[in-house]
Amino acid sequence: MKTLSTLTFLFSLIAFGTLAQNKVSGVIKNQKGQVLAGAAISIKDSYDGATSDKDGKFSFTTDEKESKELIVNLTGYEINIQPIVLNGSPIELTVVLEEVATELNTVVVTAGTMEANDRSKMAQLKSLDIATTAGAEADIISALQTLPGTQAPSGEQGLMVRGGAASETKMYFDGMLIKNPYLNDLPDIASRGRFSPFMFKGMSFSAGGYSAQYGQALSSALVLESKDLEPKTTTGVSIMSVGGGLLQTNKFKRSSLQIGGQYINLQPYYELVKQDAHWNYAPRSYSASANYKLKTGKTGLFKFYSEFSSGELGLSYDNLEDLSKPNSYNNSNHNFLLNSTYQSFLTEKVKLDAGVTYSTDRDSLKLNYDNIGDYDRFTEGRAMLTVFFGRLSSLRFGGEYYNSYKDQRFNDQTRNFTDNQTAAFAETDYYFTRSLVARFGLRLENSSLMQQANLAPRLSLSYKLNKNSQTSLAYGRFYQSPEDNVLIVDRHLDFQSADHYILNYQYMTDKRTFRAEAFYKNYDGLIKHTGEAENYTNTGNGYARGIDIFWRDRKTIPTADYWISYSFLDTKRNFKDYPVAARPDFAAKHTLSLVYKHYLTSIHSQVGFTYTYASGRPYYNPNNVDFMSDRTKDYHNLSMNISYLTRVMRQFTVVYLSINNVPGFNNIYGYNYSKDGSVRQPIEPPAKRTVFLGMFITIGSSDFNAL
Amino acid sequence: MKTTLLTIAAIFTTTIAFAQSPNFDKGMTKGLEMMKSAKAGEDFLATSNFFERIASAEKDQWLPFYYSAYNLLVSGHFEKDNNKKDGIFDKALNLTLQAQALQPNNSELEALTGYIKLMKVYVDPMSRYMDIQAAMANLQKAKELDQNNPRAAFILAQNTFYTPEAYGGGKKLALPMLQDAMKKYENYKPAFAFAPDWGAERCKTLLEEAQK
Repeated sequence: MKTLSTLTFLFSLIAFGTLAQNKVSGVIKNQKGQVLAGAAISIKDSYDGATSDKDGKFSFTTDEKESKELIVNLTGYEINIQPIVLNGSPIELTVVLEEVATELNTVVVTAGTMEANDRSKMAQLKSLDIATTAGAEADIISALQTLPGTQAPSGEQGLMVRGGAASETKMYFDGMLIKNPYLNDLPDIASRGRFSPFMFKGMSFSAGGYSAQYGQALSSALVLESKDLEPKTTTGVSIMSVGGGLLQTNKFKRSSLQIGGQYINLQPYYELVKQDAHWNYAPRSYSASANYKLKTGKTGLFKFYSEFSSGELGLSYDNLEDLSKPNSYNNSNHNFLLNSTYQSFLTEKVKLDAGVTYSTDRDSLKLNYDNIGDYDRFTEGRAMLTVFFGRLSSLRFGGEYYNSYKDQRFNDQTRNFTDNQTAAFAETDYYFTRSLVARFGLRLENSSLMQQANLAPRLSLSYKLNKNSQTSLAYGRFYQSPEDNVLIVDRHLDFQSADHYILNYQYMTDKRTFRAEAFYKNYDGLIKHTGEAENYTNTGNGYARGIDIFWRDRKTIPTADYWISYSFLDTKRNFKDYPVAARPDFAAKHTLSLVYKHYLTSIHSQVGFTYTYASGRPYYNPNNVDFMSDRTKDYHNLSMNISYLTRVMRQFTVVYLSINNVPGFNNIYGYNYSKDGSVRQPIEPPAKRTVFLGMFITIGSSDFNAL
Repeated sequence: MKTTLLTIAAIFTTTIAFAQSPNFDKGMTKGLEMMKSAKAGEDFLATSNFFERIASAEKDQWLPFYYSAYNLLVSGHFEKDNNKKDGIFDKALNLTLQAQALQPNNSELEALTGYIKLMKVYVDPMSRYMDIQAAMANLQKAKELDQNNPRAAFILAQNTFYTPEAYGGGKKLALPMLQDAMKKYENYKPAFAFAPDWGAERCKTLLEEAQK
């Protein structure tokens, strides 16, 4: 009997349960009080729930009882869980959802930096933009010369940024400093960068105020981030007017391996297109590279890159002291680089980045009857930990060790130096709110050679004004050792320094970007020397100030994309052997670039144009008592390229034609004078126009994405 | 006495355990009806949410995850804001991952995953073209797992249909692929209750378009 009563009780409970349905209703809103449609409302682990309608309202009944969790979920918002008690009486709720922090609603540290990558919505450029910019012929440095803050191309290689010399820009490959990022040195002719833009998934070009992670650069940091695992096994064949190359890519389950080789010879091209420079030995080079990536564990990624290249060239140029005896110059260069990095999350909130790099670079020069040798060996070890805390904030700290060795030979005389540098840095990106972030960093460096140390603070504050725009302020102090050529003579010197002050405004929508940045830089401790005695001191100084403007538009013309960069630069410095402070020869007052790309889908092509203007550059005229007061004429360049997508023997192929300086503007970068000032010679590009034709075939990839 | 109670309790638990099945059947049937009558983006979103609730209650069933992901994908087609689109497709991918944890190496799941990845590429094809490889890998795997899966064949055909000729696509190349997919649809018989059975109509429309 007792059994029966228990049973009855149990049954009645169940019966009661099914009868006692609870009504749950309410409205879903965002933090601004706007109603949200499409939100999923559910009681945890049950069938019961609803979807909010266009007024944000929902209503449903449930058989569930007692304490449960109500889950509200909508794409783009943080999941909202709240406890409810189902006791039969109707429940009415207002649920406020918080937007998920994304790149679009969260401020980022932007002062000074422009990004080219495909993953970030805040990037001003895509990776491919670098490779497809007309006039750059897939040279990273030339492509960056179309961005604000940089100087137009000239006879000197490298990026000259905001009144800084080329040596003040440093290149980093997956965080590691690259000592020799350019091909063979040439007198008064800029040479290309070593790396192909296709190796990288992202580039960040900083014209100032950069992270404490990076040191030894007074003006600019160019940070290249290499690609992860290659997605497919392919063979790439390139046939160019100047040579050819092969690139075999093999993809394995957790790794990929790329082996490549290239041979370049400009002789046949120079036979066809008349050169203004007198080449005795047209540049030729060969190179081989290996690129290995391995995924380890859940988040680990190991990268190994190694490259060997060898090149030789020779030319003769006028001897201004005696025009009947031209100078003969020959340079053969051997370069080896090994760059290996590892990154992994040690815990969910702690990330490790570590790497080693080793490189050697040997120039063997012959200038007339003199043999000149220049050898660099550079080793770096680096480790950094990033700790993520709070919702968005992070703290990174780490250390670096550099060993640089250099020796120089002049016929029988030799000289050398070894410098061991250690650096430590710590930096935090601290988010006060989603709209306000501060970056505060410190960097400490020590040089064994100079027996000097420095401490550099970096500070940046960014504030998001609204959905599309943000403004930033930055200050930073930057140190750089004197150039190797100076250190090898005199090591009783100190670091050179620059203070950067930056004010930035950026407006960005899906298809348009406007960016304006004002800057002031103060240089101190620059190297000065007097006369022939090579008597160096840290007594130089200078300033640079100006405005950089960038506008990019992918909207106005649907099948086209263009960007405009304008830079205004006011700068003077008293360094090297300058008798007074003056605008240096690498600093034009106005620089303007227009880059235009048009897609012609009907003929499977992309056409690009780049126009660059720069006002006249100063040059030293010994006949003018006013030091550096002469200006060259303005610089103009209009370049174009066409890439045509097609198939060769059923394999995806790109045919690429590029012409640099189509109208043939006569550009003069400056003048060289004889010692007595009686003879002068313009510094000009080696040829008025350059034409490049290439065909790139990708075997094993039938779809367009192999580009 | 104690035994009796335990027995009764046991009977009850079993009943409840079995009861999941009719609930599941009822839920799935209702969900598929919702899907059939869905017209606008919000209808598909509501259907996706409905299936997701089934998934959260039925911890070992992959089909609710599958249908939740599929309906979310369709709702994403209606979304105009690219950022929201991305969020929707990311969530759909996450749902297929949860389904795959329950049902690895399933041709239908691979096909759907590949489809969502393709749609993610089309949000911004200029910069995401590299990701097509990953989508293709899923679709190829779907074909390998089941040669007769009409959806794997259809998604591949549809992709070729909408890819410009310059990039190795176009109607001409898509035609034989669509014909092949159509044949597979005609021969397809759902092997189990609530098995995926969508796409035939769309395939027919594209086929007619390609034959013009």
